[in-house]
Amino acid sequence: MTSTQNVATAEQKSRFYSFSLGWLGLLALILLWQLAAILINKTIFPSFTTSIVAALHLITGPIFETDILPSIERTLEGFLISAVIGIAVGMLVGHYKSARSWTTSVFDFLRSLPTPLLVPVAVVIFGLNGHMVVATIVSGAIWPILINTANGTSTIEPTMIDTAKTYGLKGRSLFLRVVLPAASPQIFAGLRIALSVSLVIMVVAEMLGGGSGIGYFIANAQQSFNINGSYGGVIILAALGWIFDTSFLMLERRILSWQRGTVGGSANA
Amino acid sequence: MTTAIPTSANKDLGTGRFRKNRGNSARSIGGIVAAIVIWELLSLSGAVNKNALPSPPSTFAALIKNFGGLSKSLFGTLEAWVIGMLIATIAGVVIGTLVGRSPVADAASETVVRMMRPLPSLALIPIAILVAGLGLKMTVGLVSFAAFWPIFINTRAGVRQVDNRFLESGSALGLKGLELLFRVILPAAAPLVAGGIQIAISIALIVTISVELVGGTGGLGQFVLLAQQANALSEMFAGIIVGGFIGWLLNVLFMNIVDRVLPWRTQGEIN
Amino acid sequence: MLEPVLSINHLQVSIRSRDGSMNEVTKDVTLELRDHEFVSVVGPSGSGKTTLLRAASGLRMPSGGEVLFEGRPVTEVPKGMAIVFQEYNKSLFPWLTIGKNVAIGAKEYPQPERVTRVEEALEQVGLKGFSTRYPWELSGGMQQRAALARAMVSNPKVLMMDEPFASVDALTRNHLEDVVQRLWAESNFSALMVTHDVGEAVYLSDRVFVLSARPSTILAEIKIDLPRPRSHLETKQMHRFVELQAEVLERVEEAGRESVGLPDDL
Repeated sequence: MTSTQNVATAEQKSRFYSFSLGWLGLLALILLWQLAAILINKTIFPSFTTSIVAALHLITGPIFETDILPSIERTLEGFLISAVIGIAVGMLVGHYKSARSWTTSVFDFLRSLPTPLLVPVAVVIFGLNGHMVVATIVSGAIWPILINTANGTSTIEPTMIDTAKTYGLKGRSLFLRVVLPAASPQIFAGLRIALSVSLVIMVVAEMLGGGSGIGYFIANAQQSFNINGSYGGVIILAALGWIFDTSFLMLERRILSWQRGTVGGSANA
Repeated sequence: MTTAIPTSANKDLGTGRFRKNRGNSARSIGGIVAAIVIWELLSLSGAVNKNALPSPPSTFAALIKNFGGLSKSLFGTLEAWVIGMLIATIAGVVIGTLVGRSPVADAASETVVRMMRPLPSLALIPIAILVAGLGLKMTVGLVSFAAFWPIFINTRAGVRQVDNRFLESGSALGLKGLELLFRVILPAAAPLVAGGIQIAISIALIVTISVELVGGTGGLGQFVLLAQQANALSEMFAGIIVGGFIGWLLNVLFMNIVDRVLPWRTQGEIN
Repeated sequence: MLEPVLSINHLQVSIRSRDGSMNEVTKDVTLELRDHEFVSVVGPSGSGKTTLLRAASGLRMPSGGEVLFEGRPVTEVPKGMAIVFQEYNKSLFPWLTIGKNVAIGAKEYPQPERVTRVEEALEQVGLKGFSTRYPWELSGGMQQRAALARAMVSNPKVLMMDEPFASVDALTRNHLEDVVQRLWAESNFSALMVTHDVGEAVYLSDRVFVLSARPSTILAEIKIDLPRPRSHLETKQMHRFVELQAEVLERVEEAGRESVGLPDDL
């Protein structure tokens, strides 16, 4: 009993140690930035504290409603549309071998398209607005979801499908009650990539013609030499990326909680 | 712990399932033909937007007519891409190996990696323009910055997770220092490193083209943007087709190299 | 005489191999499963036992012959048939609790009854109180018992089992065999089990069929006239048990030799 407790506390200690080291590392990087900015002392390179103050200024100002909120909405809207289409099509393509062989080449080509190249097309179709941004996001974010879902679906254990058929699960209930949960670990991996892709594409689409949004704001700030503004905007975007990723991981951990013990460790303990 | 980046690309590298199951290449070609027919029908019917979707024949005509301009643009894009990728790969593998081998550096980089990973690197374009001005130097800097992270993260994870049994049998054979590094650690980490490079390949292309679009610094991005502004939609689509083709080609070439160099790889990903 | 619950007539199954050619696994298999009968099919490894079971239960289309369940041809898994697979860890859905896994077998029943049926089925296999656990929290033997409960909860007419005890240790196997025997004695289903374990087949069955090597046919049918109920300690010491086991083993080895001898014939 005591020995296992000792092991536990030792593990906790080393975990705390690496945790604090991690934050020290970040702190060191920030200090480096601060020092460099002071030493270089150029207007184009504001210090960390100046940038943070600028970011806080943006969040509390009118920009929040005119640019930051629309960007968040567009990102999530594009992500959700990609998720629905990507998962549905991915399951079909993964489950039916013939669908896979028909679509592989076309999908390979489409997902190789550098998404920013599609912004001009979206501008022609939708004009300079939020719809254009959402459409561009979908054209890029759909692929990691679709491909991961298809791969997850095509590698489901045959015994699992047999079991489902044994209990009369077919058609829609086969997909929703067996294929979807069985492929969900890979689907979530795809969704996580797609979420960060959505944010990246949102930024470039807005820079090129969003009419509003945080990307639009940063590009404008640069052109009008509002240097603190563009640094503040980047910090806000970094924070958004971090918040999205962290909340997604929390959600994933909750939904995939059944996975404990089944991956790697397997259940034969 | 941040683990290696699991991606669709990584998945391909892991099992090769989606690729190797192609089976029927006739169907695969049939799929492409069907896609082109659907494109033609969409363009004829005007379902999308009369002026937004040129037909396949006029796009291919534009492709041939603008062959010179397109290849020049493509070389511009590839120049920044190649230099950026080289820097990112060398820096990512070297720093990733160093950090992965040192427990202290590994722990100290953890939070930084977590913060940087979801950072939308394209947001840095305006700042890069401010700091470095428009030009190849700025594009290369941004491309190598964005492409560095997946390579670094995967190398770090790969080096860190090299099976102790490999290390022990390596030492038992009298390997140490650099020899151990080059003959045991790096080969064992290679599949993950390759996975990181594969992700970086498309990220680098996206960043290169985005800089060209936003900054107007030439290349494929500017070609497409200028075509759109001139309302030359067939030319615009020709540029996009070239972009898709080069993205596809870079990926396939890399996969083939990986297949040759790492025939033993079975797992491109660690969960 | 009563009509058999399940009859397999001249069943032939071919599998498409990787290079695209058709590979005949089952050549000609005919057997009947009568009401409340326990039948086993044994054969050397690679004789296509699992393929036979999958075709007989409607999970795979045969390339020839037919399977009749209560007189009707089988095209998909019919209502009234339940299957227990060898790989319990791939057959229980890992994202569902034990209770919800078993409830999948009981989805024909309306809600209040479903819950009590699930509880009863779990109690029958000695898993009372485990319904809120996830499969990975249970040992292998317990997981296979949960799979059994899921099969039993719908009150099937026929229980198909594919090497049901092959993935657990010897002691757990003995215990599981007795659980199955008790369930079979207490209910009125017929059981068809494929296994490579001769002792297990003799211990549980009324009749044992021996399968030849690939492409397989029935080599022999052996009646097991041991008294019931059987127990590991007593039955397995009976002279008759040893005799029957030897007889079946001899036929299985014959089939095995045949397949080993194959290259010479080619």
